[in-house]
Amino acid sequence: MANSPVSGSGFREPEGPAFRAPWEAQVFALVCALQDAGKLSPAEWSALLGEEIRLAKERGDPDLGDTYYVHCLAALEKWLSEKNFAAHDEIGQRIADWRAAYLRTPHGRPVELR
Amino acid sequence: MSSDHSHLPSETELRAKALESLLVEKGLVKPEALDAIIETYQDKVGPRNGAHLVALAWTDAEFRQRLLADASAAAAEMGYFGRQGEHLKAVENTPEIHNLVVCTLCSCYPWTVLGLPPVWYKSAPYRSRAVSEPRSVLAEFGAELPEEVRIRVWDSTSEMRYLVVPMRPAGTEDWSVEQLQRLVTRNAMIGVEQALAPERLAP
Repeated sequence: MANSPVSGSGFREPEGPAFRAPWEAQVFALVCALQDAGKLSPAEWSALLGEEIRLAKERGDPDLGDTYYVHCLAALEKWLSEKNFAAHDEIGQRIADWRAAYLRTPHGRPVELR
Repeated sequence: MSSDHSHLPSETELRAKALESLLVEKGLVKPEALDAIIETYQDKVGPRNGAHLVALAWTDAEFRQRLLADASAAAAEMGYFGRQGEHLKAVENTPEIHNLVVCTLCSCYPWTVLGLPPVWYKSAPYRSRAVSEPRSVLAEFGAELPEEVRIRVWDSTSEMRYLVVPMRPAGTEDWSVEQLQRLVTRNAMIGVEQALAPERLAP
């Protein structure tokens, strides 16, 4: 809280919006929706995310909380391919498709996949 | 490419879009459900729910009993329903014991009553130090505990989440639930602070 006289602890943060960018909310909502729909159990998610955080730290992520939704995103991508819902390549292709869609869509027009 | 195309999102944003479109296309999630979740967590759910429960427990001995016996059920009484498979446990601070909540694996958190966790809760330093040196973590948040107070650290899991019921501040004996709620900060319900003293309330 703003009232805590914390100094130099690194635990302080300003009170702000729940999400710092729309994509964070998007990823959070995907995780919740998959759990609500019974596709992903809370225990399964906790294990996946814990593993992803561990790997990220091994790769040198200081893991200060600001990369949390990046870990969620990576864990979801892995889950999708481990469950054979979408192969790794399919995810990569979809990212490329979205990039292409942005590049070909004139400014101000809705961006759509073809 | 000319510069008149749409602003190209970052790689991370593109990955999130790719994931969402794939999950929707494969029928794993419904777009309406996503919108509803975002709306709920952005606007409706927050630490006020938890503060309400704590203030009720301070003023109503029977509710306090129910909250400590089965926090999920007591929260549901007030219309705060947890996600499936999650249990909520309320842990009460006393003059002898102070409770502190962490999730050492990922960032399990009682969303229903506290909203979304602060950034530091999801950080490696908090995850490790809350367990190895809770007293100094509390001190950094400004909560200096007397030597004799024991600190109990609760490690959240996907099945079990914790809500700390802080001690009711002195000088609030005739306060209403509405007034008391304002003393119960999110941090106090994680256990890194005590409830605000009445004089610390902004006028």
